[in-house]
Amino acid sequence: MPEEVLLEARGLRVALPDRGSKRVFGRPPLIEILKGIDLSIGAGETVGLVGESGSGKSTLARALLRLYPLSAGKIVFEGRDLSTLEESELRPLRARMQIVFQDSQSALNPRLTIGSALAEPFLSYGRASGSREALRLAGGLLERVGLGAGMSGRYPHQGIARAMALQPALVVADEIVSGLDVSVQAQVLDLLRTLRAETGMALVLISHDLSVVRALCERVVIMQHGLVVEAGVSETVFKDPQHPYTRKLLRAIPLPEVDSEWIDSVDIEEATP
Amino acid sequence: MSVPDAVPILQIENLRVAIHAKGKRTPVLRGVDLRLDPGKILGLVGESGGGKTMVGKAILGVLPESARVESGAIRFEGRDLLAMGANGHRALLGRSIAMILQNPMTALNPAFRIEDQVTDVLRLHAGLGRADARARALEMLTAVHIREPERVLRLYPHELSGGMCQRVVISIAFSCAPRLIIADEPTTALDVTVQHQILRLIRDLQRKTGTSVLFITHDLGVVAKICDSVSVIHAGRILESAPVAQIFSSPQHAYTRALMNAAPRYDRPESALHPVSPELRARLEREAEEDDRRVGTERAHA
Repeated sequence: MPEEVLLEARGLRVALPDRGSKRVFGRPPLIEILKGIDLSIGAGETVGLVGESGSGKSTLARALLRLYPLSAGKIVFEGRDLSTLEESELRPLRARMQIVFQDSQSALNPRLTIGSALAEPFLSYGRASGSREALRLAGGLLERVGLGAGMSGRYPHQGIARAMALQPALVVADEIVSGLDVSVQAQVLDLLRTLRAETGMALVLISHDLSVVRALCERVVIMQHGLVVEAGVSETVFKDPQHPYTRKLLRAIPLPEVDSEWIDSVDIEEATP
Repeated sequence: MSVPDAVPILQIENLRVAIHAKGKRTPVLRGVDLRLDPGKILGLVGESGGGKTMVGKAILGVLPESARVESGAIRFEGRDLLAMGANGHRALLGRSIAMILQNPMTALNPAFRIEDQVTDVLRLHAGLGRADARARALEMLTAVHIREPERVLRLYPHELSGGMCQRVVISIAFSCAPRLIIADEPTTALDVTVQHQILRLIRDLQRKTGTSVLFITHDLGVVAKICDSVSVIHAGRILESAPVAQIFSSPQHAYTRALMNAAPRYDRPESALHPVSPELRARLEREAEEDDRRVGTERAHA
């Protein structure tokens, strides 16, 4: 693990309104999603956050960037405690920490051209003298991520380009390769590897796919029900998983080789409504 | 073991389908051949846009309105579905041919209780009365390992998790003991541990009932674990068909090998990930165009 710590989260708790609850009056009750998370990310490190639906991995991704209010705990990013900062104080730090969402199409403003959407951060953070220079910089970004004509918004390249605009120290990528064909996925993973090597940014990759995380991340964090159940160097965790849940996750991955015993290696749990 | 010369449950021969829109003809299936033997699971694997879902829709007779079947046959137990007309075709659906789709939330009608949706099929296709259908529905929900089936029958789809909804969809698909099930990416939307269980569930029920399954998926891993044989599809052409043991030990087509090299494996982190090469894509495209030209010439001469 690198010596310099970029982000450190301690005892993180997040509670969000329970949208499933039917209430006529008043606010919906809060439901605790993150139940005390400790996590540290070194400068330039790649960390995979793995878990199934409901594990809280996406909530954690957003909470790390203070996109959700914390009910407890603290986050220190580049030496500053994010949990105590006002939004106006957070703003300059936001350029240093970026997030890429799963679906570029809905993450970008549909009323802007790709060019203007990518030029916008340069303008709003005063990194370009005018719109002409901002557009030129935006063009450079597109070239770097290899965004060609005809690539649809289903591909995460636009979101990646936008996140890279202000040379962040940390990029959080939330399920950005899930649902892509394996060939496109290979391309995107390769792009992330290259960008990381070029910029030295830290990358937090959120994925339900352990194979994707293994391909890219030095460290892996396994989450279940809002808690970290296992964390460590990828090589170690994958070779010798300690927690039963990690083992279950690994066993559930269908590797592309014929193995007649695999399918029977799971018991069908009784599903309770 | 099936006898090699037994009548296949499903045999597709030279199926050609094209979309006609704005005066333009776009081929989507370019002479598809498939064979599925009784009691077997055939995987149909390929990337999105390759035509795998189109094959499923053609079998179910639910191609989009703009699509035209130009030639070929889809033989179900020897009878050509394309030649039997809409009524004959529809009579087989639900009863002899059933389906399991990717998104269980949309496969179920959100406005009806689970009970109505499970018993509908049984009353319509198996001719059961209300009480018998209900008893059989309870049996089916138990068969897919749902606890408190009585209570589940009274619930609406939104009150169930995705994995639970897929179990209900599977119970509906198997309820009339169909000869053939078309499963189009049935586990793609599910968590990996849920997928593991759902795959086992489908395989267990398939073995018990002797149903044959056409398993459409993009995931070669899933193919390796559940299918007996596999056909690889790209641009509406079947590039390779083989028993699973053979395709994973010695894939013949460059595209099959390319798909295998593109997917990361947690047990082989050191292997580099290669996207399908532009050269191979260009070659496949050229072959598809040549096929279009040849068919175009034949049509002109016909």
